[in-house]
Amino acid sequence: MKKEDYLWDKTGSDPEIERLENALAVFRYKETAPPELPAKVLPFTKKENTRSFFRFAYAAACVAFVAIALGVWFQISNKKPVVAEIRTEFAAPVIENKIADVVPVKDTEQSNVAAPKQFINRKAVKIQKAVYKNNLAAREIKVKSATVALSKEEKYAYDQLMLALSITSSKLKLVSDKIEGNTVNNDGR
Amino acid sequence: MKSFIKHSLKFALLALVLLAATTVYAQDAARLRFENLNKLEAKAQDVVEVNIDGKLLDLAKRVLAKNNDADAKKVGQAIAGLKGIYVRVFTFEKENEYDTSDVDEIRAQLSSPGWERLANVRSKKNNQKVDVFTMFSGDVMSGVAVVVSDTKSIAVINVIGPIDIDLLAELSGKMNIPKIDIENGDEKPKN
Repeated sequence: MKKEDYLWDKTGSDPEIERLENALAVFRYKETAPPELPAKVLPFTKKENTRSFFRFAYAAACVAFVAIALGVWFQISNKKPVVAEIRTEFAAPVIENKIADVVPVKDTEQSNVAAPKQFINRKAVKIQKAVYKNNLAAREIKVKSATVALSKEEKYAYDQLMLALSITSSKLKLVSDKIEGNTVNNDGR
Repeated sequence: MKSFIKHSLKFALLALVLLAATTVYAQDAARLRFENLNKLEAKAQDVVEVNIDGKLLDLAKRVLAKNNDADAKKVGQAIAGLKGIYVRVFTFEKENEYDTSDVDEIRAQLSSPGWERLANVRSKKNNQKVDVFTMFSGDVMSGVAVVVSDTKSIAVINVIGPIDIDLLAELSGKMNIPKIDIENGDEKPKN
């Protein structure tokens, strides 16, 4: 049996292996000087940790949302649920406020203030929301509905004039509508 | 020279007096007499009587001027030269409860010289008759009369002085001029 000591610890001789060694000697490792680094070295940029950034942004958004929600909640809870005033301002169109410009508040309107408490409780939330949403509009209407102080004589005179004008305008409108109606009928024939 | 100035002054004064008299006459001529309608008050279910002129009208105009609203401005503009408004509205419970001759008497007043018929509407439904008359002194309107009658109501409106009819009709239901349907007895204020 052939000994393979030469292959393992180079003891003895093995001509075949020696021949192979000689043939591959050109590829044998030769210690030389280390290769030079290129003159221009690209700087190392550390990648930002995007995951942590998004975590921070998410946390900040949550905090902001909670802060806004609390702000809104406190603002709503601080509003007085004065149902009569709100109903007057929002249920009535702007035209009603125009009347209020010249006509002082009547006793019947004041009686609305004493609305049943049960009604206030049921409607309070909705009304408060409406107040918050239409805060600016409400301010505008409040400015418009500032009543002009009128004497009894002035109010009487104004009411009389408005009554006369309302009847007059109503009748003139009736005539106008009748004439227009007839014209349309004639054209339609 | 002095006598010329005196004569000129006299002539100017006379012209002014004549002008004022003409204006007063035109206003008086445009004023309808409603006395014959007074007896209807007892029969009517609802009666509306409005007489507004002189100081009362000035007071109302002043109140209107305080209002800065656009529609109020329009109303103020429409009635700027107004001298008076007189309104009579009678609503009856049953049909033909009043004598048509009472309304014919008013219409007869409007056949006098000076009045011109602006509109005349006749409807077989409820026997409705609508008349609009105007009176002019020169180019200026000095009066308007509206007479509306049907089987259950009579409405007579007499406006003294110039008024913008179209603008007033346009403003019906606006401002706080509610749409009032007197014939049906329904009041429909604007919502």
